[in-house]
Amino acid sequence: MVDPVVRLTSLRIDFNTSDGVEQVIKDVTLRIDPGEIVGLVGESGCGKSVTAKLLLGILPMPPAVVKAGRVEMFGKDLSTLSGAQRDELKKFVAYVPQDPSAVLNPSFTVASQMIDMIIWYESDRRLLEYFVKRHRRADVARARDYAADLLGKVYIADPEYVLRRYPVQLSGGMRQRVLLAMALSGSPQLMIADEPTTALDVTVQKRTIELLKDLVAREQLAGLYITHDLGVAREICARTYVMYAGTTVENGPTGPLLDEPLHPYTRGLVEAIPSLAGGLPKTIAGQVPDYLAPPRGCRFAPRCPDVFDRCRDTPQRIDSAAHRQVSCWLYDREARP
Amino acid sequence: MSAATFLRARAVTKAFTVKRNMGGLRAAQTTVLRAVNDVSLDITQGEVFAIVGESGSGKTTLANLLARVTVPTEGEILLDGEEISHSRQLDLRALRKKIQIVFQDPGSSLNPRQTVEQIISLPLKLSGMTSRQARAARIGALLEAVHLPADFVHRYPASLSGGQKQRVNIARALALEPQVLVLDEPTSALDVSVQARILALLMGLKQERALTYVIVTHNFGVVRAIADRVAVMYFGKVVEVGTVDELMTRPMHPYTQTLLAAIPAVRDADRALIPQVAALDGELPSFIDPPHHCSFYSRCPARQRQCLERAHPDLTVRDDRRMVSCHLA
Repeated sequence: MVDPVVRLTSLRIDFNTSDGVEQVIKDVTLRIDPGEIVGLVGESGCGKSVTAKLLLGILPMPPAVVKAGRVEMFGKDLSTLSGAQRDELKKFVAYVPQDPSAVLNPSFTVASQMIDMIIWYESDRRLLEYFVKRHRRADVARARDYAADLLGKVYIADPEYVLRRYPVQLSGGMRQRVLLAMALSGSPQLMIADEPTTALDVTVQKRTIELLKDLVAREQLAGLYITHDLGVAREICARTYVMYAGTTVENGPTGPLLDEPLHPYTRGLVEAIPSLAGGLPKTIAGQVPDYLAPPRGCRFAPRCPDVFDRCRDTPQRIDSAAHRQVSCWLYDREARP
Repeated sequence: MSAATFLRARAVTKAFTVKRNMGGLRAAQTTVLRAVNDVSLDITQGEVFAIVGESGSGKTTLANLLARVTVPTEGEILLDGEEISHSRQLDLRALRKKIQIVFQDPGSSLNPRQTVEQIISLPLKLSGMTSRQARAARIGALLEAVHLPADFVHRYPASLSGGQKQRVNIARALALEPQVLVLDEPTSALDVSVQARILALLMGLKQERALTYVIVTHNFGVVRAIADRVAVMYFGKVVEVGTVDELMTRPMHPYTQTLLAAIPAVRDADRALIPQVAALDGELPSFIDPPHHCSFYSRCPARQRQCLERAHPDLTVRDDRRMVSCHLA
């Protein structure tokens, strides 16, 4: 069997803040195999972005502290690696951010920004080498050709035209494609996309999703796709993890997971989406817990319609059906009420 | 159209003048950009009327016009038979008791340096409610109506969640007991579980207070959940109007079809309701140099030669209460 690209096991992350210790990530267990796009869905504040930042190596520590669990990337346990070795791994990880207009610099052309990044990668992040190359005409010309190639990979019909533009002269969908192209520049093996289509219109979103799927297949990437939109997850992710208050509460193949959700939270989330057949959507009672004093045991228990006395303890992850897992006492044969 | 028309837009155009840098030493050129172009709508009392479209379609500009936040360049808006689009400042205070607007971003539409009490009491003060006690009583009732605890009056927006902020926005809009509420993307910044609650709240309030809603959204799920009729906008024009039922089950305009086809549906049951049409290619035409033929031509999957030769199609009545602007439909 091939090693998974990413394996997180019972990860726990606390944040030391001036108000006290925020227990943000309680138990994240997640696996991404080569060639698959895995979804991570949940509502704001559930810890999706913290998980992504950890994988990108940009989670600020402190305030964050990894309290427990294992983080393995490309078959290596991160805790056994030195800082330099970890930086080495970062090269294989690409990132597609949420808001393309916030990431591109408005005062430089697309060409200038792409060339910067390509040469920075080529010079292995050594500043002096970067400066020399950035001013050598031959290197810049080569980087520009490579930039045009990359834009071609994301189906931009006229790369030269786009290269000469400033970001404001491009539409939102086009800017997101430029960022996708930039993400590909380091020949990555893992692509982490944080709500890359949230800022786009539905019609452009549909195109972008098709493009992402195609890219991942063509470049043989593995992908982690973070979103709060279950519909988008369904379009793009083969498997999906549902996250609530720092815990991956349920996972499985996306279609069956959304059609027959097992965890009461997943069910609530799916039912909260307005149906195209009409009628008001159902609501989930209560509030997201305070991370300074989260509920003991199952964190969804205070809002759960099916809560019973067993929920005072933290549920284990149970293999409930084919390729599906759920962290809920309801599916524990011995605990059942 | 019928006698029950309550809020009416008559051939409304909102144009902005933009200066264009021609480069080099050439003089800058001014051009006219029509964000909303010759739109007519009839909204009935007590209905929930939705306006959908992509960004740049002019839906927010139209909402601002309907709520008299901005003034149309041409045409007029009538509320209950009265012309409101050009009403003077003095009449505006009276108008605000009839029509109010809830803006898109619940965070930036609340003053961060004011408490919830100060935020909601401003419209009351401006409308002449001078008694502090009367205001406090009204604010208490409003918070209750939007299901917020009474002690929230001393809170600042920063300490509220997104859903709570939106409730404060709704409470402020309801303070003067208007008859019409214009809602610009009221739930698009919120999580689905919070959205579900705000939608339930809006429908409850509508029943209690016999409100008329104009809701701007890009989410067809929201349209389906609460709206009675819907207008689809493209490039500053309304291209199709109909009841939600009709329009979503039998979309006539090719743009409506592609818009519906792009919905990322979650459940299998919903996926079956989506038309299978290819995703939309291309981009909006230039506002600076708009096409003379149908503005959807450049992206239309069903386009034909005649569409290029004829002028932009008028919005014509097809059957009972359904209007489409397409040469082919």
